[in-house]
Amino acid sequence: MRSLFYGTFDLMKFVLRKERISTAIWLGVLLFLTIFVAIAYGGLYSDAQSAAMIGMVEMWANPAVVAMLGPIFGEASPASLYASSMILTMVITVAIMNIFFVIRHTRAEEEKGQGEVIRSLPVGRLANLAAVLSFAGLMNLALSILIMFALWGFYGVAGAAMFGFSIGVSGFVFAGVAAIFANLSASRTGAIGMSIGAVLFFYMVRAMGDVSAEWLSFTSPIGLAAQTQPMAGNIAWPLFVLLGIGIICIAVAFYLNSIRDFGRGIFAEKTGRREGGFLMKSPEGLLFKLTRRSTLFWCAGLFMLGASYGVVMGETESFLEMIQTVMPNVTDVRIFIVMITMLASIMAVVPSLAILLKLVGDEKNGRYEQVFAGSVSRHRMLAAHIGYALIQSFVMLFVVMFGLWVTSYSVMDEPIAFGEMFSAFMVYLPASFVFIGLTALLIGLIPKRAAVIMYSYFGLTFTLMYFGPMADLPKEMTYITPFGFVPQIPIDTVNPWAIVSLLLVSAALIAGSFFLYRRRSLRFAA
Amino acid sequence: MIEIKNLKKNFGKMEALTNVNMEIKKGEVVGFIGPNGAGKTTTIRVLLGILKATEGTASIFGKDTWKDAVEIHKDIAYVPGDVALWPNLTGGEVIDFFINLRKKGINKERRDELIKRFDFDPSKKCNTYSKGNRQKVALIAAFSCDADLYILDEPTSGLDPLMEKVFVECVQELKKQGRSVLLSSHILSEVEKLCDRVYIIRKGETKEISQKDIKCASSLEALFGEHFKEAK
Repeated sequence: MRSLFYGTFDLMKFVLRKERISTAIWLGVLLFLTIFVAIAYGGLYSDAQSAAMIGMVEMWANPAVVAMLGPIFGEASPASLYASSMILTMVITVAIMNIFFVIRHTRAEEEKGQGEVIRSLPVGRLANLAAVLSFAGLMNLALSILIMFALWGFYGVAGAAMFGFSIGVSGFVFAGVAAIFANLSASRTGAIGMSIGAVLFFYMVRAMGDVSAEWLSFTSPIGLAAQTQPMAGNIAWPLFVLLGIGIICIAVAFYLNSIRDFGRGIFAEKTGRREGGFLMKSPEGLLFKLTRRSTLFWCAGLFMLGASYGVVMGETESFLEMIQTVMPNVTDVRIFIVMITMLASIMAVVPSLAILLKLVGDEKNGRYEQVFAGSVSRHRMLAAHIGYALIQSFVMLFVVMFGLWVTSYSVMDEPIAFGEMFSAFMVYLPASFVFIGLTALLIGLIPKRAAVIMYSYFGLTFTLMYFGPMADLPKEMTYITPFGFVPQIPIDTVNPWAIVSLLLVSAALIAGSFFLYRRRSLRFAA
Repeated sequence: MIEIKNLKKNFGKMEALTNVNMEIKKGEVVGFIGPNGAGKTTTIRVLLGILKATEGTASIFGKDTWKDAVEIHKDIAYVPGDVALWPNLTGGEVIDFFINLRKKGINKERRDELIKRFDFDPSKKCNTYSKGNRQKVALIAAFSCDADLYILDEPTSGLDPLMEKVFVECVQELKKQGRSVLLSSHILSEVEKLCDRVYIIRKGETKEISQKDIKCASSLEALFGEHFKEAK
């Protein structure tokens, strides 16, 4: 028995060596988010009698909001409002952090062959899983304590501790869930997909519970994490239930690990088709086949994003007051639409970036070496990726718009016409094109840094456009991103010059990328 | 050192090994050859206690390879045919990690000498290494250890001819020191040069070949061809 875990501590140190930077980044970002929102809320909701506060509580009477964010527990106060609006976001983010962490060090290492070398050394069969899960435990504990100290000054120690530990302990549960799926599925992508599916499932179970049958919320780890009622009831027992669930998951994972063959999953792998079909005839087909599943997921996700905004638009009477609480300078319902279209359009550009950056990703890992070794020109590959990204940017924008329009149409007394909604979204298309053009140019110019630069630029864009109006930043600051130039329909009148110049800029960037990509050397992994 | 008797391994319904038998005594260098997919790596993984045998027994140093894997691994060194490393660590870091896990301390002199002989730069990140250089990481880590048994699974794949020569020298030194080696390889000349005896595996079943058999057939390659022609 002892020999099964032999070397756990050494492997834990090794995990620390591999992970020190990414763990620090994750914890830092989570902590920043915690504090940033606490400060922003401090300005907005000073006391329980403020108009903003009353509006926010009114909005919460809408079941759609309860389904999305969970209920407000107890008397509404600035503290309980913070906890209610943040807890699920934090729980889900931390769950995803744990899932990626656990699978990266278990199934992914086994799949790549790194696990085999480790297993040939004097380490126990379960030592790696034990090391990874112990590290996850420590990471979640550290996160809980950090969040507690960060919020102590804002909301008092009891609420801060309950908030922090609800997040940390539920994160630990999902480390256990991921460990189970890492043993069930034989592939990294399968294990990640199933684990995230579990998160969505438990989120939905909680949503149903919060809206209609309360007991259902207690059957979901995500619901249980919120049921500690941080900064309101401060009930501790769900934490112990969660801890118990986590330990059971881990026991199951150890058992599964001990009965399966190395490199295999409990679920047998399906055999695939014997011949390459229609899509395997061209590099364009390959690109489509490789990305179609993630495209589908993005479509579903963005549709739901649009739909959830649409549902909220139904509450027309309290509607204006409600949005004024979130966006104090809003005086017209249509400004809300402007805000939604802008945020949704920015989100919708992500899948296009991902597709385009695949060109450098699969260059770096060497997969495209074989493609370029065939009679495929640089321009053809670049054109395929850019073309697909451009089409994708339109499709995604359309999907999120459609989700918003369909649901808002069914709940609003005076629904917004399809044409109006369509143009309100499509004015953002030229800005997406500029993003795509810029990415393409960087792929030709500095491929190594392209992904980092573009995702940082995207993050900056999102922050500036989302928090800018809240923090009363001057409008000129948004001119560092193409989204800042887009006329905000239906508030602004259409400024054709803005659209035309964005289109020209994107065309110039794409032309430049064709020039540069042809002239640089490709760097495939050795 | 190694003793395998009537070993069987099934993956679901697929029979990967049907009847594997093998014996290696102290100080012997034994070859292990066979076509792709015949079961060489599966056999080696059973020996490493990574896979559990369906039937039959496998032991190293008289201990069960599945139950006593941790104990056994303290005294063996393993080199896989395709070495997967961690992209953000340097070659030197990984070598030291592999050696450290054996808990016997690092013989720095021996390690540095091997790094020099294999003409290896340990200061680079693993993702910049070519196939041959990744192979060197595992070889240097393995040869730096004071192991009693070396299990080498196509250890020279990707090495250039000069480095392959260094590898052959290293194995010959091990032999002189009285250590045991199991060498699985497709490079038959290498096997012929180094090994006292050879096991051939076909469709999950092993057959032993002595030096005398090889001489009769003029070369190992001729024997290999003959063996599989006859099989068809």
